[in-house]
Amino acid sequence: MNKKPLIAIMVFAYLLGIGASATFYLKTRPSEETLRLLKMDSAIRSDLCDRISEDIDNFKESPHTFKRSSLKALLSESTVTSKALTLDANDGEPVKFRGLDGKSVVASCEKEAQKWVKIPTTFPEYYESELALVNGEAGLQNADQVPLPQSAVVSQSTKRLALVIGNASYENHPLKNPINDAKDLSRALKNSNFRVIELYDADRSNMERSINYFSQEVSHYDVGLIYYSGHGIEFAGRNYFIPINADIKSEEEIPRQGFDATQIVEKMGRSNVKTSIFIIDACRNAPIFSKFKGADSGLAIMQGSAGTVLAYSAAPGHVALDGNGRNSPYTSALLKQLQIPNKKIEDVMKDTAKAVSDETAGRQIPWYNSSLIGDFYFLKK
Amino acid sequence: MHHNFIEKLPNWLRWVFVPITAVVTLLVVWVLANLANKIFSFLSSPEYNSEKFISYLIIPGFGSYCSIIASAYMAPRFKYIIAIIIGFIWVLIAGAFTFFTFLNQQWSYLLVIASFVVGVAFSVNETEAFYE
Repeated sequence: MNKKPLIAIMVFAYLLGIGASATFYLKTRPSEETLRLLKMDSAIRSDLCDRISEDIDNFKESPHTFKRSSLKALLSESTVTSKALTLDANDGEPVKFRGLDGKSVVASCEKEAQKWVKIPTTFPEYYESELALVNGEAGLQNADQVPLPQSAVVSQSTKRLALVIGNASYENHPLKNPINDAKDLSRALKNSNFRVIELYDADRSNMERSINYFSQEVSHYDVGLIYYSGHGIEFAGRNYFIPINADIKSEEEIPRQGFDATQIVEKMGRSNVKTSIFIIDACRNAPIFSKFKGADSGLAIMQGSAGTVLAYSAAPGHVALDGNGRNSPYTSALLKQLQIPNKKIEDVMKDTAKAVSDETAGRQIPWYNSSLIGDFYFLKK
Repeated sequence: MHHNFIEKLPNWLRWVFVPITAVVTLLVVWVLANLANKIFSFLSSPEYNSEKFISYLIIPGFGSYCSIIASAYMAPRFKYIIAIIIGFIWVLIAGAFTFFTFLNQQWSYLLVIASFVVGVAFSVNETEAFYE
């Protein structure tokens, strides 16, 4: 029998298969915009689940004192953090969980959310609606739709914005405490009505993205605070934060691989924010950069514009200790001071410095300079 | 005996079994052959070259070949036409996979698809030779 018709049939079948699948793909493929929004939903959901797990851990640690906030407040924090990490900071798009895949905002951690909702809350009046959401009974896709008044979000959250960075998992010289420091400080700042963008073990691109986003966003706030815990270095008169993926082999690589902290201070000075606070618990006691001739031990003093507080965990040119407990000596002392109400920031810094100096027998003396015009209180009652 | 069993089935039931035979045979052959390949993997070189050769080039072709031969055998009549129809469907599916293989740049799967299509071609050719 002539094989040509048979070959033609099979070739036709093969091409038909390719054409059909291509048509199906093109018709069902989500647009670039949808993909981007789905990615953002996923990032928000993931961050919210991290916060829920963190609350559960905190409750386990302090079952008698810990109280959770509302789901809406957590979602609000997650959207800010996710926006910083997933999207181009210059697009000016409103941050929102859209639930485009039809799943709940707690879909990735339903069991944890069911545990979380049972933790005693600062807003017990919203318990029923939150319970309905985490149990999937509300028929709602996200916490924005829970009938909670805006007061469920911390009242001054729109006025104070913080970026908290904790870098610990360095390949060559990992640190023990920066993540604990950053997490504990985030919690303390939230209690002080800060909206907090948290960044842990950040590589350079994540740091850049978050800092750019923070710099842009902070102009809508009255107070902007940046806390950095991790390795830092001074080179040629400028301070650099070191991302966890930095592999600095020569001092010329420091400006390229590190993140210029001096530039951040300058950028903050140009924004509309009334009060800028920088707390730098860096330059920990791992001598990773001591081989570089141009790099000094300790950090350099930076110059902020009016309304700026710059606080360092150690005096210029000196290194800070990582500490043996859960927190570094500096952050540990700072956390205690932050929780004292009606204390001016200058007093907080002064008493922190005294506590650190006492604890380290004078080996580490924190440093700060302030050009505040008015008074600033972390907690005021 | 097996031969008699199938021939004793009513024709309508054999027609019903034709597509089922095609799919089940493909799956069973594919699973068993891969299982055997894993069991005899000690015969393979340290880089698993022979194992890869069998799973990428032999098993897909053998699977599609057995599938078409079995379904043609199950059909009470028009065995060659049945072989062509099932071959057509398998090649159509292979075409669809080709698109997604290119899309995902999983180039090694092109070997699987090629082997599968060659298996179809051999089986259709053999069915013609045997039944026509």
